[in-house]
Amino acid sequence: MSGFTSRAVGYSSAATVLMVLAFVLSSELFLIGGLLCMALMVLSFSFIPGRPKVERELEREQCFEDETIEVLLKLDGRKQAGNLEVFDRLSPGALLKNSSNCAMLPPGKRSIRYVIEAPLRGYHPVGPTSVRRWDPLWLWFSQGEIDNKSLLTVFPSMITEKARVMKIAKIKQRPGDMKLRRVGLGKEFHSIRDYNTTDPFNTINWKASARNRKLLVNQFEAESVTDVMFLLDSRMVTRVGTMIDNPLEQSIRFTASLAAGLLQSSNRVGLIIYGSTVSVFRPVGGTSNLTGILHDLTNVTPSGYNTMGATVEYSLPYLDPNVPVVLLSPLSEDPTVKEAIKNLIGRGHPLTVVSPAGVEYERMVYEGKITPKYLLKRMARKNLIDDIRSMGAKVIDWTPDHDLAWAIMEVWK
Amino acid sequence: MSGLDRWERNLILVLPVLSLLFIGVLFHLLFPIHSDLGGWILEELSSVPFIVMVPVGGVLGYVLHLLFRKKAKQTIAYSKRMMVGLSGWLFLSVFISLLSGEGDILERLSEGVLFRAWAVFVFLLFSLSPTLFGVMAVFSRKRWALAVSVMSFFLLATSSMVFSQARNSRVLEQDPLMSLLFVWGMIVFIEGVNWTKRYIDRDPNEFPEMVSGREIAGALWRRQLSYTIIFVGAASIFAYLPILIVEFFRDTLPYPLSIYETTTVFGKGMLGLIILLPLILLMLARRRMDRKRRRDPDTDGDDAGPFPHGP
Repeated sequence: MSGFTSRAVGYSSAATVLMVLAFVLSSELFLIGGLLCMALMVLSFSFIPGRPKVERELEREQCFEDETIEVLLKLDGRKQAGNLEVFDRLSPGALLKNSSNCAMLPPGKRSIRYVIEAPLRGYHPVGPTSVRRWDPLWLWFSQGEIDNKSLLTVFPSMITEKARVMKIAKIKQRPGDMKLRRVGLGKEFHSIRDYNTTDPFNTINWKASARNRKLLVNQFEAESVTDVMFLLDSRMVTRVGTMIDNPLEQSIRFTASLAAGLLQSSNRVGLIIYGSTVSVFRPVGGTSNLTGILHDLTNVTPSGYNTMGATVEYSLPYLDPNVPVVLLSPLSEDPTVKEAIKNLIGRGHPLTVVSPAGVEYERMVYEGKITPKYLLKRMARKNLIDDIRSMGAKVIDWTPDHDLAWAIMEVWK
Repeated sequence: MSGLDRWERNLILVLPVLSLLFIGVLFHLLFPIHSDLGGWILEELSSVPFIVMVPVGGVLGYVLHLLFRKKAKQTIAYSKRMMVGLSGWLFLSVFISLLSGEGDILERLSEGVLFRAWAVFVFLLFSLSPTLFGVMAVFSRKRWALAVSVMSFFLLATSSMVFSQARNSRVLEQDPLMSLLFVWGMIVFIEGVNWTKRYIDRDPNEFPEMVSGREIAGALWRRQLSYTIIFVGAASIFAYLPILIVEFFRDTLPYPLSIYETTTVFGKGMLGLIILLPLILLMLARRRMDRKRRRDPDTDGDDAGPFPHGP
């Protein structure tokens, strides 16, 4: 695409008009003016810099919400006449923190450095880079796009704290084969140590003992203790509030934080996300699997109207018996909540309901106005929470006044 | 902060004002007939040379700029009302002249007091407008003011030439060197106002290395300045060459160039266009080569859209 400035239009019109007037009025002034404008434009239009090579370097390709990332844009072109205007497109979910993603500079080897902030989880594209090549007098440009898109993965922000003893936790009925990289009674080899009188004979490492002329025993890795399933509500209704602060985002941050803590304390974590579809991620353990869970959470988009009742019905076969379940939902606009909770508790799953108050987020959007509709919704929610509590579930009513740390502390109580 | 050194900043700010003054003086020297044109409308106006209009227009332009800055809406509304008033005045004066007086329509019109007063007012307005709008363009950086100022210069020049041909039945002589200087002054004025907008009023964040090195904005301006000087110099050669050729080789030009037509402005213009032709062909060739390079796999088509500041 090419474009002209108003100066270019002015010069070209002046050249034409002055030439005509020069001929009509026999004016040498107009003749010189017309020819000069014409020659000036033709000369400037003849010089345009070549297309530069543009490479982008992100400080990190993965970060957490509210972190800043430095972006370095390297331009490599021959030193020529003319100028370059560069614009590195950013995702609407990324904010410019420092410097600029738009720059004017002479051709040659150049670099642009700017800092972006990612306040919202998700996969944010950085680029492509649009380059305008200008003539030396900035009269016209030729614009092109360089396909150098990068992807910035923004994970939900977390509070990393080692999980305490959960009241909901139960020792697994069927210990799995998860390795915990610490000494225990598992089957995987961990290390060798000196023999104690209480050690069974079958743990003695005879080859190592012969080499070292003393009795040595093998140590094995410990195994997992608890599975925890998170049931995350990602229906369209959870989107109520602002882009950054709404029940879904809070639920995701909570899940990420608690999952990190649980994994760090040698537990296994599974995830069921329902919205437009139901996605089940079987329990996994070990801190190395945290990235996978974070990716699953980053990918969540608020959509759909699946009910909790249907989701629980669908996912019951995937839940191991007596596995503690943490349900994250604003509990709004779903008539099957009670039935679903009854179903889970009836199957022996210890249940913790973390409910960001959607009605309060909705009120914040309307500048805190208290309307009859709000009062009715709040009353209905309170009654529902009371009913759930009476069924034997632990309910954390999470209002926007309380932060993430408070909600996590409530789980440990 | 604009990223320019103090001297560069000062030069950019001063350049348009100086060039405006320069072209005002040059216009006075090129078109002394302008005061005769005033005298034709009203005898007393012949004693007011154009050089007087230059500072008066400048002062009025500054006052208008202040008014625009403080009360933009009211000033625009007042200007519109003034235009309507001027049109009404013209209509009324023509109407009254047609109804009263003796002689043919043109005679009655030129002798009508109301019409004469209108003509004086319009003449003064047009004579003041080059510097009036020029100063406005310099201070308020309005693009339309710049266009009006430049157009007013050429309009006044045209009216002076037409008046000269109508009054004396001869073409007004214009010194080619002075004409060249006048066009240079005009280009410096236009580019100067543009530099002010581009390098002084612009958001400094658009120059990426402002913090680490102030050279980018300054470098861009210095590049543009040098290219402007080089290109204006080269373009002047192309523009002046036909005149030089005809002047120097008037008697020695071979047939068919040694004909009457070559010495006329039309002949010089045609010669100029012939000289420009290779340059135009070069430009087209370069553009064609650039288009061919577009098939480079590194680039991916074109995309329209603005270059906003920020994401």
